[in-house]
Amino acid sequence: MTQIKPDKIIFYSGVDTYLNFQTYTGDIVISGTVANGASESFETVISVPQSNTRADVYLQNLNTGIKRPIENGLRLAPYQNVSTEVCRAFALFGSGNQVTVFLSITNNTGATITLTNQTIRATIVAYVIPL
Amino acid sequence: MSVSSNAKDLMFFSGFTVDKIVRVYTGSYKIPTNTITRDYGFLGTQELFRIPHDLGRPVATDLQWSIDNVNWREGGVYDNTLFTMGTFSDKDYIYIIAPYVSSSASTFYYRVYCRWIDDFDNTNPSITAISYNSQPIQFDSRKNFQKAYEMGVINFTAGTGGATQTVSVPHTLGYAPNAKVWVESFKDEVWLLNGGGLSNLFNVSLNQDEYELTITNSDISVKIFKYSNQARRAWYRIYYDAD
Repeated sequence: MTQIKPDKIIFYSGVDTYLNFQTYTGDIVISGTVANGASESFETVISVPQSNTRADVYLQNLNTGIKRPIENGLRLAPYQNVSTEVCRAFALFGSGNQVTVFLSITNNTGATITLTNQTIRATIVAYVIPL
Repeated sequence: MSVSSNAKDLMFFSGFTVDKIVRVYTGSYKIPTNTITRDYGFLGTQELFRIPHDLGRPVATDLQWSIDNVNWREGGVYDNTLFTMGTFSDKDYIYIIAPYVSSSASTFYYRVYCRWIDDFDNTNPSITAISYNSQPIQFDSRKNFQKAYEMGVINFTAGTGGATQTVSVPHTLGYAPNAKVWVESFKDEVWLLNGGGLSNLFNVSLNQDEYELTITNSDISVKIFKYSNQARRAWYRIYYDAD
């Protein structure tokens, strides 16, 4: 078996890199009201016409410019709060080469809130991987 | 025009660092048949699926998971109706952690991707190169690669009680780039970001620190919420956009 020291190499074909890096985007438009004790969900469906793909998912608030990845419990979307409502995000990689990105806003503030109009852009960074 | 200022139009250039995927693990497991239970003290126990590795030190892991082997979710993301799954590594194992488990799903499918962390320590170890019989092409110069603008390490001082410290890394890209950060949530364990505030399912121990990443047109900032009273590290990667 070939031994390598990956600390000191730039590229070696025995150490994979992600191939065919492509990005795809979709927008989630947030508006409306959320009653106290209720949740509202918003989503965008993004076609990712690649097979054998893994992806990183990022969310950017186009109103504020702030961007965050979705991963490993980092569920805080770059959502602009009205009060103390909680915004969570997740992405579902479906069987039809589609990625659905969801935002869920839960209101436990004690009163109905009117959401600030804002657009969250989801970016899918898709790679081909050697499974 | 120099190649270094024209990254978006280059398929591959050895002057740019790229991610080094040193292992990919796929498979399935059942809870509790294939898992171990780790006691995190005050906050309770967690079920962990362990994959032994031969890399000699922690690596930066990414996870995709599924309960039907058809629909896949990005590692750990919150799902109102299902589960959350996370991943981390130490020098011996890759771990998949499932804090909340429904009895309705007995088999979990996983794909774990392991990126090398250059200069994690001073050991510069040798590892066995990988090869895939089913995917013999490991490099295709016609394909674009996610090229790193900058990789580095952030050092945080010790603290307790939820005290915060934010470290910013400036960049001159002119747009909010893609960026990833792995963190030392526990000593000698490398986790994906585990921020999430009070509803954070990955806050499994009072000895664990939490992290958040914010990306803007001018910098990335990593915010730590300190509980462990240990000095911690975070490893960041800022990427050029391809478009």
